[in-house]
Formats: sequence, C-alpha cells, structure tokens
Amino acid sequence: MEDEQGLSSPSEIRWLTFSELADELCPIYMSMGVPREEYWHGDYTQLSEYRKSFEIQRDRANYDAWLQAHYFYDALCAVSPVLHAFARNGTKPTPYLDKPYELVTQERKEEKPKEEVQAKVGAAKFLAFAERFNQKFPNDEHQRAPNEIKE
Amino acid sequence: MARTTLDFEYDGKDYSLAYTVDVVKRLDRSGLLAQIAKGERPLTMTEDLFMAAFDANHATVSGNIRRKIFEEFTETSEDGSLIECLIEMLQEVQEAMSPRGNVKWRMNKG
Repeated sequence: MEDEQGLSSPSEIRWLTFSELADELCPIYMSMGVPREEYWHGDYTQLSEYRKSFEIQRDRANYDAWLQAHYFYDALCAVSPVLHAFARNGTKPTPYLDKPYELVTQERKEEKPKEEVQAKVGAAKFLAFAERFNQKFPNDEHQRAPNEIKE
Repeated sequence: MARTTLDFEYDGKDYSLAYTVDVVKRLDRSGLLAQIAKGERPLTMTEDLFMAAFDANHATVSGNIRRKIFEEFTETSEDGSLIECLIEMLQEVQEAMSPRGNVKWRMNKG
C-alpha cells in the first residue's frame, strides 16, 4: 500500500517476502546484463560481479560525458573571439587542441613528484625539530647533530 | 567468490548440492522459510531443504534416490551439522541477492 506520509516516514519501508524480492530484482538484474536464465537458475554469487560491472560502466559513462563536455567547452572557448558581436575585422578563432588530453599518464606524472616532495618536506621538518630540541640543552653530552639523529 | 556447495560421493557418483534463486523462491512459497524465520523447526525441514538442494545441479535425480541419500546422511550426521550447512547455504543466496541498501525485506510469516 502506498504511504501517504511522504518518503521520510518509517512506514515507507516495504517488507517483502523472498519471492517478492526475487521477482522485483529480476528486471533490475536483467537491466544490468544478467540473463534471465542465469538469474533464476545460475550461480547467484555472480550477481555481485554484475553489480560491480554495472557500477564501473556507469562511472565510465559519467566520465565520458564529462570529458565530452570539456571538449565542447574548449571548442567554444577557441571560437569565442569570433562570436563576439563587436569583434574587430580580421579576428580569427584561436586554434583548437592539437591532440586529445592525456588521461591516465598525466595524472600519474603529477602524483609521483608530489609524494616525493612531501617525503622531503617531512624529513626536513623533523631535522629542524631535532635541531631546535638539542639547542635547549647546549651542555648536554648526549647532544647530537641532526645528521647523527638521522642515522 | 564461489557459492557454498555440499559435495559428496554416493554410489560412485559425485554430487554437488547447491541452491539457486529459483529453488529458494520455491522454498519460500512452500512456507518453509517463514517457519525457519519464526524459529520453528518442522520435522521434515532438513529433508525438504536437502531434497531441494538437488534441483540446482542434479534436477534429474529422482525423489527416491534423494531420500535414500538423505537417510544415509542423517545416520552419519546426527549432530545437526547438515541442517546448519543447508541453512548457511540458504542465507548465502539471500545475502547475495540484495543490492546495497535500497529494498527492505523480510521472510514471509504466513
């Protein structure tokens, strides 16, 4: 029965029997690419793999849509000088990208140096801290140079 | 992840008992799942679950042979490990079915 109190009310929770659940999920799984025969009579452990595969497909489609919009945006930016109503005579559009964006490789190139820099900054901060700490005890015979602490 | 099966050899033939969504649905329709959910343990519960588990991989095995195998099983496993195994297999189907967090459901109680 349809709940009249709105979506947030606790009575919106529907209690289903296993049969009802199985019947309800069948078209959902079929939309994810599970053959009907396999859903009812096959190995049910594959259902989770179909779900993951479906999520990956959705993510990829989402990314592709975003990427396409990005190319459109670049194209519009390139021709925008010509589209200007009061553009001077002889105005030409700026050239469009020579080649597509580098996708994965560019991200990896950016990530690696960042990690290296962070490690170096961390080491330098520690050495500075050790040096300041040792300066508090100028006569301490256990005082060591930062390089010694490092070892 | 592979599904849990009950594997054994009987009369020179290998058996691998398992459940499918269809089999569990039929068990639900029969009211057995509701009884299990209520904590009831009908006398024929183990037998019914055991016999139904043939349907996935050995649907052509006759009821008589299934019953014979079951009788041999009950002679060797009186500690309840058979029913535990069968119920675990049932629960595995139910858990594998539900996608993450949308449809709320429970077993039928009548």
